[in-house]
Amino acid sequence: MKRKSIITLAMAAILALSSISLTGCGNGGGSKADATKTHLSVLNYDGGIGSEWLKRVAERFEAKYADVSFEEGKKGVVIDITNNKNDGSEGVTNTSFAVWFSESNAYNDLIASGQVVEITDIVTESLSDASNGAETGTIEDKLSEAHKEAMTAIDGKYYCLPHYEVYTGLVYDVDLFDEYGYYFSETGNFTNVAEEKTVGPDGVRGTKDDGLPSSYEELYTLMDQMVADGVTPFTWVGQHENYANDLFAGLQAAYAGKDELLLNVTFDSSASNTQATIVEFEGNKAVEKKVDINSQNGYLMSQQAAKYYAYELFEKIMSSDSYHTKLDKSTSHLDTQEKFILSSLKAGESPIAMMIEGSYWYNEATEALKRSVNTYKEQAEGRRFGWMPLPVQYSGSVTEGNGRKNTVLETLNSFAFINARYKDDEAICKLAKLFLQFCYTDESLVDFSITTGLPKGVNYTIPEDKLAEIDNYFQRDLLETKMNSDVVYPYSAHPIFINDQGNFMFQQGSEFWAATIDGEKFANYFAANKVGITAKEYFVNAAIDKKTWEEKYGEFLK
Amino acid sequence: MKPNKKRKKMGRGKTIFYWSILAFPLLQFIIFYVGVNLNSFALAFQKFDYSGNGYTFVGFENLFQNFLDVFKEFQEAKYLQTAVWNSVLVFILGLVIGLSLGLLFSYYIYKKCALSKFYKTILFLPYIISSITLVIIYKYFVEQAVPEVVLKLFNIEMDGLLSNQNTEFGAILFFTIWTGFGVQTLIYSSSMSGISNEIVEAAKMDGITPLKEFLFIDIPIIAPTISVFVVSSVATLFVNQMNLFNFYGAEAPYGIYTIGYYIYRGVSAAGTTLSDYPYYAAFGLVMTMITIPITLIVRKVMNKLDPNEG
Amino acid sequence: MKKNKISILNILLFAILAIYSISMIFPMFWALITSVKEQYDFLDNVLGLPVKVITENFATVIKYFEVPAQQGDVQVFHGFWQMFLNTILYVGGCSLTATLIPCITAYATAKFPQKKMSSIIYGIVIVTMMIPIVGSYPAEIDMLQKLGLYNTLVGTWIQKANFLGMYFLVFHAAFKALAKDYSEAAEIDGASEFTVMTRIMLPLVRNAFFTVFLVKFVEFWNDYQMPLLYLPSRPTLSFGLYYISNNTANMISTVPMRMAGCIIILIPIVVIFTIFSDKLMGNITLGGVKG
Repeated sequence: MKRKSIITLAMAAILALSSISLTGCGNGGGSKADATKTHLSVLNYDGGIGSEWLKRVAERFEAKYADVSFEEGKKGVVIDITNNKNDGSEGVTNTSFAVWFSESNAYNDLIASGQVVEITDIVTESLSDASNGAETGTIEDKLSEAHKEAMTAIDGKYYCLPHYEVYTGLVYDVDLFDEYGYYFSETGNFTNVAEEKTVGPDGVRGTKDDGLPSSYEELYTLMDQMVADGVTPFTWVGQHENYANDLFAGLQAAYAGKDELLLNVTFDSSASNTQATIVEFEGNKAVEKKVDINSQNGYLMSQQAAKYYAYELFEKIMSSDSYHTKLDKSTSHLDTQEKFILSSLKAGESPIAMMIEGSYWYNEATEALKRSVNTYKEQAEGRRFGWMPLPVQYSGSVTEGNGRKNTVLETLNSFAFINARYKDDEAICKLAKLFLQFCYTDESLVDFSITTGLPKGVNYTIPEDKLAEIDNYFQRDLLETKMNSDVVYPYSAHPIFINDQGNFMFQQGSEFWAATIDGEKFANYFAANKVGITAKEYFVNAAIDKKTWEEKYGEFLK
Repeated sequence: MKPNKKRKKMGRGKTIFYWSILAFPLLQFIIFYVGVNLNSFALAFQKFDYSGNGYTFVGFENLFQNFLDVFKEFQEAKYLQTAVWNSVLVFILGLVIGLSLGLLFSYYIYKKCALSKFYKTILFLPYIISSITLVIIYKYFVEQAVPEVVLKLFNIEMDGLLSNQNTEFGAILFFTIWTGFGVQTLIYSSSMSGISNEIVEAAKMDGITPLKEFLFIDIPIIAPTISVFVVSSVATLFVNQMNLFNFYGAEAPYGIYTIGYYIYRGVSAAGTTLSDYPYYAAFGLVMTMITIPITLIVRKVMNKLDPNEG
Repeated sequence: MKKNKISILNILLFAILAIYSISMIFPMFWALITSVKEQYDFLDNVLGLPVKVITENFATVIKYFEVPAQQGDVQVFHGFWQMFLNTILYVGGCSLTATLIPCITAYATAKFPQKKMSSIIYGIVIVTMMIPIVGSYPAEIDMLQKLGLYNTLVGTWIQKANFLGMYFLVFHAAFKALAKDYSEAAEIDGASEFTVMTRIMLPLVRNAFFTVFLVKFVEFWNDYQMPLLYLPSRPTLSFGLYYISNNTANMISTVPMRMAGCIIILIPIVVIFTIFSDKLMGNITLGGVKG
């Protein structure tokens, strides 16, 4: 029985190996296991932000509580950091991580299924202890109205805090805009002279957006000028179709503005202005119409003018290969970023002016940027990329004092919370809350931003001198965008939203973007454009009708 | 499983042996399949309540609410009907092309023709190389290499095969079949090598051609093994994703959905919330109910065709 | 086996298989040449030969091939060799249980078809193949935790020790074809049921056994999701590759780096396969008795 002995041998070998390795690398090697201190396990969803920020805040926290005892016989704290892409959808309580900093979290699910610990106390109490007396306000003071309302929608209590935030839209090559002078002048021509530039979408002179397209018409003119100059206006990732959505979301936010954009999820449940601009067609002509939105007619938001113009722009972009780089399904986001970076460095290449991306792109592109500097030396050093403000009106040009504050849309659903597994473990729970609170002091928030280059989803100010510590233009620009813009958090306390959140997300596959035309369903306009469907056709067919709305959400319409 | 056999009483020793062998597998099944998944069957009759009660029973008056939603979706969404058709197409082409080529390859290996050892390894390669790698390479190949070659040879500009709506489905279907021979060939050729020499030699004396030998001697003898593969692929008719998740993640275009992908995507894509699970649980059950009779019929037919059974 | 006369069928098959081989070797070759390219070289020239052959990609991947492992409350880092060991333990153990259990279950049910349970088990196998499972990961993790098996090697082995799936059917067909001839002869000699199974019947299907084992081995080797969910304390190589190419270290996310990573984990399995395929594959004696 030679064969059988092979099985026996294999089994024996596996058992032997396992016993070796169990004793060999059990609890020892390399960890900072310190039995004299209380350990707190923290999960960091590391999709490009690194863990440096967490190490820094952990060090400060450990120092602050070095002499405090949380468990009998122990003194001090050790924060154990694990980097792991876990969004909690496979369960939070079945992991051993006490504090989570994650993303793509369905926060209502986490709360409603009892996965997370209630933290109302630390959200509403003064930060004075946590900040060593530097602050007197609370974390709640730093939350936006939309967050406050949505986060407490289920039972009036807090369970999660917004972690970092991400916008989608356009990255533009500021150096290239300067070089070619792609700024509109008051006379309708292009200029590079600061005084001649238009006021830009915000209508305020002397701000960064001066001379940038404030209307769709201007954006179209700019695109044509670029093509005439041999510049390629747009690039984006071909591998994933949702990158096209990134542009739609950014355009929609800028054009609609904060109040109107929020109506997509809140309808009339929030106290804000409920007026929305929708589009109706007279023949081929799009006619704008103002309507008051409420729960009953919430479906009208599918006909928002801000959406139509975004599709129209995309139709224009796709109408000629000279408006965009070649798209194919094999090019990843990292390759796209690298090609964007290289396009204006390499001889014989058509420089690319704008890239459709998420605002986190710079963190992903760090190595690509390093490589470009290694090869192209000074030419590639200190390059300036910016987060582009987008048009706020359809035609003409915004005049002074008549613009609107830049509006950006958060799309990542990134949250911090405490694992409910520890809700009865007094020591750990207390420690976890203290740590979470500590991470939301101004000092920690600012430190987070200058370490990662990313904004947190709460209101805080980064002082000039701190901002200057960031060594690149893009991240400084992004953080300034955060401080100077209306950030929209598309969450709501409305029961329609809570019970069908998946369909109200600004993400691929949600009913926000999908349309059915002649029985064929398309996830977004990009997919439909490929088979020759016009922006108008798509928009009209994306409409949700009253009957469907009532059938689907009747129980939530009072 | 021949019902006509008289049920003989088994001896005590045999009974003990039988149950002692099956005790662990059954226990494992009860814990890790039934125990774990019972919940997901129950889901089909539940809904999620965000006011703190979690999953609750839909109530008797709405007992089939989730199922009605499934039927409604089927009626309204043409892409789901397409997905059924796509699933069936994957199955049929997989069977016709995949199985017949698989059998022929196995025959070639079994006959130890030129390079058969080498081919055996090659056929198994796609199984060894992780699908992530294979998909990356294939994408570059059909998106960049193929258009470049066509341009050079015929001077025709064309889109990548995946970028072009008309060739997308075909390109992925091809990939699925092309990389799916490995396990089949391994097992068929092993089965064939059990065919006794005398039968083959005797047939050769009668002047049988290789094709006839393949069709009328080899295939009938390994029919039980073939039947296993056919029954398995019918059973997984609506579970098969056709590699769509590897190619697209959650973003495959609706026109090329298979039912397996629809369900998988539905429960694992970002944006899925707890309130969506009951629908997909019901959807899964509906598809199972459709598959069961089909599978049983196919099994019956296969058994009828199996000469060893007669 | 005697040499066959060359026939048209064989020539045709030879040609198709040759094309097939090229289509499979080409991607492997592409992965290999890509892995020795610089990133810029790759971006300019996706399909061509490298301008300059570099080996740094491999060095970088191995250097960064380090993955955090959660062991109890502390975190340790596992490098290449530790992950290799984890992989062998995980893959070896799981493949063994995932082959052995269907095999003996199939044996018992094929041998005693008169037992009702035999038909039930057969039915269970067929039906479970058709059912797509919705959202069972959390439930499965909960179950493992309740049994104290979560995040343990033994736990994953037991988890995989089910008789469900196609290979049960393969074994069942094999045992059925063996009929009772062999075992009844042995029983007359007074051998116990257990002896008959281990000494006579199992060796008869050893080739099927090893074939299935090999298939399972490859399957588990390439699986990066299960270890991630159920065995976070012991990252495997596939998980390691997934982790490093998806996480922070953008340094290793370029296509050439990823190809280098793929090749690194491909080599052991190809070596294992080549050694064992020759030794272990061969005649599954499905039709053995009739011959």
